[in-house]
Amino acid sequence: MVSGYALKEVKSLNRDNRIKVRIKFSKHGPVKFVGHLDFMRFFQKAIRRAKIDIAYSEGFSPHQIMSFATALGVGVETDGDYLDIEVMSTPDCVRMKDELNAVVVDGVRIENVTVLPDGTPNAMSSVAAAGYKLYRRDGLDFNDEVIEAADRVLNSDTLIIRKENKKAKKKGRAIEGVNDVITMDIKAHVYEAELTGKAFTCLVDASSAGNVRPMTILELIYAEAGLELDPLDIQIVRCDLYREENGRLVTLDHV
Amino acid sequence: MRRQALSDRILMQVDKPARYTGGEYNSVVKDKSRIAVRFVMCFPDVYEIGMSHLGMQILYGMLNTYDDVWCERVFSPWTDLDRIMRDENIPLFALESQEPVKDMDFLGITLQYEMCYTNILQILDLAGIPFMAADRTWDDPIVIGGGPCSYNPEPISDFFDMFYIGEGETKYRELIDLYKACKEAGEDRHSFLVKAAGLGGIYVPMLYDVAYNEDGTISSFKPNTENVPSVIKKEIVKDISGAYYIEKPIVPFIKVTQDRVVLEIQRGCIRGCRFCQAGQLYRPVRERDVESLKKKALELLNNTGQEEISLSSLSSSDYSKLEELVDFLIDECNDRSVNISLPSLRIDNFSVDAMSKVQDVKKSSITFAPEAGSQHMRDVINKGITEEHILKGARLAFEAGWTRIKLYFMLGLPGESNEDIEEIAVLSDKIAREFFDAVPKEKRINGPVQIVTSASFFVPKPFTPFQWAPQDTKDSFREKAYILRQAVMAQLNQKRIKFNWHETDVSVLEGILARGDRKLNAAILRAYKKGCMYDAWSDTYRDDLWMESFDECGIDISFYTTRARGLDEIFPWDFIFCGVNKEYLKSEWLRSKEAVVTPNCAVKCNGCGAAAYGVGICTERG
Repeated sequence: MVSGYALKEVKSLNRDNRIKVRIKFSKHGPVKFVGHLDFMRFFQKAIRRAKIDIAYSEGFSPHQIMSFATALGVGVETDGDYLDIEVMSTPDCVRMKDELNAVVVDGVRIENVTVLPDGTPNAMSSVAAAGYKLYRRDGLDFNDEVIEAADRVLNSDTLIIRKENKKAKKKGRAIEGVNDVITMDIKAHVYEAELTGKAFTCLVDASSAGNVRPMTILELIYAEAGLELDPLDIQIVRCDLYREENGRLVTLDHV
Repeated sequence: MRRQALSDRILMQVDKPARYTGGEYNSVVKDKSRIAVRFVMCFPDVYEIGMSHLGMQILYGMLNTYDDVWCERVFSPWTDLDRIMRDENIPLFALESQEPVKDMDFLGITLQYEMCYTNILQILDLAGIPFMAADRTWDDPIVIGGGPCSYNPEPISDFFDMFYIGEGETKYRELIDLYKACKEAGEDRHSFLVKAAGLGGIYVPMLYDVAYNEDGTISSFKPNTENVPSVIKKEIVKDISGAYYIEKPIVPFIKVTQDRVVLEIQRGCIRGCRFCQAGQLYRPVRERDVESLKKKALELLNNTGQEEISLSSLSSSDYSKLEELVDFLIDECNDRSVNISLPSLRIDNFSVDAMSKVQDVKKSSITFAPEAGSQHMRDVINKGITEEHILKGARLAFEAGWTRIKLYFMLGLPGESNEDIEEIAVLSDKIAREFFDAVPKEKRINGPVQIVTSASFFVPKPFTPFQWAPQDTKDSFREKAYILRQAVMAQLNQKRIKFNWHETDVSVLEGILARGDRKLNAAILRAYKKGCMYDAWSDTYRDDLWMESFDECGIDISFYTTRARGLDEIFPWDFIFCGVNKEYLKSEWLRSKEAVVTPNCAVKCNGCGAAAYGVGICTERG
């Protein structure tokens, strides 16, 4: 009998020959309620079902070499999110896409599969921006006050948000009305934003340094309109993820 | 996209919303316009527990092989959603169609432990189905119970239209055909129930009357309707290898308790431990054919993509082709980077070798279940192992590199003395000494030995030789746990032994319900109405409300727990024939008092009665 160690070592010796592959997927409908960690587990199983020759880590509980570009919140849909995997041989991308699509659930679709050239940074570290679409779950349009308020907010020179001062709070140094809230101008991190009756769309910074939550901007707009926004009333859809290339934003599957 | 029963707004507010949205890989959605009978299978606990249950997956798969039937699932909504559903009048729904449970033809509830009884009432309540079977009409589903607790269905007899006694693979087709015929012929619900009672294996509580003696024991139990059997004979799968087994298990999105492929290698157990209900209920032992198991293992891994496979049986070491199967799995699973878990193995050369191949000795622990500390008590319970076996097993594990050992014991076994209790600590200490003896200092690279000694409290169960035994009181349980704790602290290696014990309250309630009679129905309903639910969860268990309910219903709990039962007493469950005769259990009870060991089925047939089924070990053993 071949022992566990022997086989696992063979796989790890081939580390240099591994091929990096980027998978773009969409997620809509009830499956949006599957959280990030569970969705990772879902993908691990789908990859086994599709019999993709993915690379495994060493040790007694080998895990697949896989990383997601970024987490998707519970309840958020996506038209374009990404994960990178490493496989043992150059794949036929169209076939891999079809084989995966045959073993996923309703609401999940593999949009494309791309082989990454050597030295491509992984999806997680290259995310620079994200596009979003937000609309009312009840299917109604945003009302006129909101549309007018959006005009004022989005055309102003600043976008001031107020955040809880987590640092001070953590250290027990937060004083109410003095330093418990910090203000920030996020204008430079919002690249595009538009609100029509149907939806609020935006392209915002999604890097680890300057990540902007789209709901924050919508909250500013509602506040300007003098209305309360209940985030539970809004559906968020991520449209795509972008990286920077020569000062331009390109989608992550553009390599 | 499937319409959801719960709005996004609600789903965003509850913990783990994917418990309620269905749509998992391999879940079955059918075209309902082509379906004659809608079945919903319920595990009355939270999704993660229910989805870990093999029996439910088998029946789900089997029922969905019928073209005219669509079987769906439902679990107890967790307390957060429970509140919202009550506030907003949202009816309980099945996961697959997201349609109301009340609109189904059958609601099958699996009864795996007594502590789920209030959750059954939660299910009925949220579904809008009357609690009492007697109040239901054709507008309500047929509520059918099954699983181990249906071997004493009396405490919950009012809430069920029928119980299926025995293994689910055999009678559902007939039952569903009968249902269809009765509906087509325009017969009333009662007449369907009477006919169902004649199918065999089906117990319809409302067709039986119970009379009591002045002391509260049963004087008679008999049918009140003609053509209804007075004894219900357990259903059993005759050809276990040929019987239906899951092909495409559902793959949950969220992490469930058993997040792996489960391969049932045999049903039943040869051992005959006197406290163990499963060991009696599932007799005779029937092994699955090893070649078909190998094929099945690969099929299940391919169809699910699971990264772990586990063998299931009451005592895997007794499976005759275990080595062949495990070797096969180790080979195949290595190629696929699949983990193997090997529970319920006796610790011997083979199993230590196999486990060291599939587990990381540094991270995992080895489990022993001596159940009792002294040889005397192990003989009383017919455990069939000696201290020498245990120490030898521990030594093998230590030599293979394990340092963590888990030990399971029971407190409150019949005839237990303080010395017997202290022997648990002594045995734990001897195992620690075995480590220091077996592993020289320079080889203790994984650190020193860590022993976890866990004690649960013994609860006598129906259809065991201990069904006559008085159960300890709460105070006595606590006292015994204290004695054991003191004894552990007095050991040389006490710092290497961690001692845990179970909740005492819950063990007492389990004891009441396990050997309860029809009089308990009212108290269970009352406890539920006071807010009891999820009694198996220590955070939600409300002992005060339970005790109040018993008081208000005029129930003296000692009647069910500490009372010594007469040898000739009629038990509430005596109308069921599970294969093992009452006379046999009685002789085992008497032998236990003398601490006389009874050999297992593989060594000698003791004439328990299960040979009446003419299958498995009863026929193979010449």
